[in-house]
Amino acid sequence: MTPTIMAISAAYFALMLGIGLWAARRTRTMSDFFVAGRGVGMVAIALATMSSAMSGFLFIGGPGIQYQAGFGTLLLTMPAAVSFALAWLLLAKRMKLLAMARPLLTVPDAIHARYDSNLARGLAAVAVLLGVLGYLATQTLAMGVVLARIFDLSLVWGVSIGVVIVAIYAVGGGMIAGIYTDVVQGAVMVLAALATFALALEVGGGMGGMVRSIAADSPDWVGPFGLLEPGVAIGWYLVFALGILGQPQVVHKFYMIDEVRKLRWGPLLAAVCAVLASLVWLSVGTAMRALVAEGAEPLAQADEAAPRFMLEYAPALLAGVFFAGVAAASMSTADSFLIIGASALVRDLPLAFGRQPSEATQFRAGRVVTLLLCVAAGAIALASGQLVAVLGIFGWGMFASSLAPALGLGLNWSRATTAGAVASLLVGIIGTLALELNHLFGWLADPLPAQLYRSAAVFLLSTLTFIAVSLATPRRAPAADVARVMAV
Amino acid sequence: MATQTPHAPAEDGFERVRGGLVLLIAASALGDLLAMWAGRSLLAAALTALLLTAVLMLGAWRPRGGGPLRIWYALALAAWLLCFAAMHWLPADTQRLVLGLPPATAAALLGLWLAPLLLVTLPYVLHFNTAVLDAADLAALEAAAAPESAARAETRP
Repeated sequence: MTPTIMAISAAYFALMLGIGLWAARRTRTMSDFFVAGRGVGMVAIALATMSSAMSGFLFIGGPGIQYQAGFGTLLLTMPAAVSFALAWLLLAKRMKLLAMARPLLTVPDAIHARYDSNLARGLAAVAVLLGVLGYLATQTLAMGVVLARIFDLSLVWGVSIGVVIVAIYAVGGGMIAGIYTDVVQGAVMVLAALATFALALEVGGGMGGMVRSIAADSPDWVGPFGLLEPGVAIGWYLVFALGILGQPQVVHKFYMIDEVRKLRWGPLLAAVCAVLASLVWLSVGTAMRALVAEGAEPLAQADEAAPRFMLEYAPALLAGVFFAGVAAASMSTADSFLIIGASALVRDLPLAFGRQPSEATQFRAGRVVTLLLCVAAGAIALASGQLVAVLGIFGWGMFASSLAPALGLGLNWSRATTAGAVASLLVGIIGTLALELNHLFGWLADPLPAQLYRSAAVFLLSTLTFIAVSLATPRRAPAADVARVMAV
Repeated sequence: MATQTPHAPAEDGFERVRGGLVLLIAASALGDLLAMWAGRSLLAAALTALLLTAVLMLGAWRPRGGGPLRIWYALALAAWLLCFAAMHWLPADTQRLVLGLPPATAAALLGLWLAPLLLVTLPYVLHFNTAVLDAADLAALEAAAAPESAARAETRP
C-alpha cells in the first residue's frame, strides 16, 4: 500500500480510538455500558443501525459475490429498502415503550417481558451468543486481513492489532463507543460508496458498456437472478427483509433512543443510506467483471474484486478512505457484538437461571467479559479457518430464524404463547446449527434441494412452528403493561 | 415487575384482525416453503410478497384499524408482484437496455430498491403521528409507565 493509504488509515484508527476514549469518560453505569445511557439521538441511531446491519461485508463480500454470481446477488442488499421500515414498524415503538415501563437492556429481556419465561429468555440468550460468535469471528478476521494488507503485516499481527484497538474502546466506552464509531463509519460508508460508484462507472465506460461486455462472456450474469438459482435469490430477499426483526445489533438500538417520537425519521434515513452505500456492491463487482471480460487478469478469489479495483483504479485518497473504512466498519460492528455478547453472558444467562446479579456486578463483569470475548474472537478467527466463513453466514440466519418470530410476531400478536416462542427458538437454533454444520462437514446428503436457501427454510419453519404451537397451546394474556404496549 | 394474568383477554375486532393476519402469514410461509422446495420461483416470489405485506399489515394494525398505511402496503404488494413477474418474464438480454441494464434486471432495481422505499418506508414517516404513534396513545402510555419509572428512580444509587 502507498504511504497515503497508510497515513489515512492510521488517522482513521486514531479517530476511532479518540471516540473510544471520549466514550469511556461518559461510561459510568450499566445502562451506559449496555444501552448507551438511553440518550442517543435519531440521526445517530439511524446511521449506527445502518452501518452495523451492513458492516464491512458491503465493501468486500458484496462486490466479491457480485463479481462471481452477477446481479442476482443484489437481492441480498435490496431488502434494506423495506427491512428498516419493518423493524421500526413492528418493534421500535414497542421496545422503546417497554423499556420506559421496565428496566430492559437486551433482546432476551424483551423476550422475557413478553412471555414471562426464563426458559425463553435463556434460549434467546443462547441464540444471541451463537450468532454473536459467528459475527465476531468473521468481523475480526476481516479486520485482520485489511489491516495486514494496509500495513503489510502478517495476518496474526493484523488480527492482534485490530483486537487491541477494539478492546481499548469497547472495554472502556461500551455501547456509547459502539454507537458513535458506527455513526462515523456510516457516514464514511455512504460518501465512499458514492465516490466509488462514480469512479466505477467512469472506469467501466458506463453501466451499459459494462453490461454488454459481460453479457458477451456470460449472458446469464446480467439477468435479474445472475448465475443464482432464482429460488435461492428469492430466499435471500425473504430472509434479509424479515430477518431484521431478530437482529440484536439492530433492534437493541431501539432501547437507546432518547425520545420515542424521534423514531419517526429513522427508517427512512437508514434505508436511504443503505441503498446509497449498496451502490458500491452494484458498481465495483460489475466493473471488475467487465474489466476481466475485456481482457484483464481474472481474480484468484472473488473477494479480491474491491481491493484490486481500489488499488488499480482509485486515487490514493479515495483508496485510503475505502480501506480504512472497511477496517473501521469491521471494528465498530465487532464492538457492538462484543457488548451484546457480554450482556448475554453477564445478564441474560444468569437471569435465566434465576440469579439476579447487581447492576455494579453486571457493569464490572461486562467489561471483563468484553475483553475475554475480544481475545476469544481473535483466537477463533485465526484458528478456525473455513469454519469462520460458515459462522459468518449463519450469524444473520441464526438471529432471523430463532429470534424474529418470537420477538417480531410475538410483540404484535397477543395469542402467541410461551410454548410457541420456546418451540420456534429451538427450531431456529437447532435447525440453523444442524444445516450449516452438515453443509460444512458433509455428514449427510444435503436434505434440502439446491434451489432452497438453508436459512430461508429454517426461518419459514420456525415461523410456522411459532404460530402452530401458539394456536395449539392454551392462551395466556401478557402482563398488563406489555399488553398496553402491544395494543398501541 | 408485573406478572402475567391467567385470564384470556376479550376477543375484539382488533385482535381478530391481527389473528387473521397471523393466519395469512402462516399460510403464505407454508406456501413459500413448498414453492421454494418445488423450485417454483415465481410462485415463491409472489408468496414472499404476500408474506411481507401481511407482516407489514400486522405491524400497522391498531385498535382503530389499519389507517392510511394499509393503502400504501396494498400498493407495495402490487409493486412487488409486478416486479417479480417482470423479473421472470421480461427480456434478460442486452438487445435493449433500460438504465444500462437488461429490462428484467432494471425491473428488479426499480421494483425491489425504489418501490419499497417509496411505498413502505416513506409512508411510515408521512403517517407516523397518526398511524404509528399518536399523542393520545403516548400520553396514556407515559402515565401508565410513570409509577414504574419512579420506582426505578428511587432504587437507583
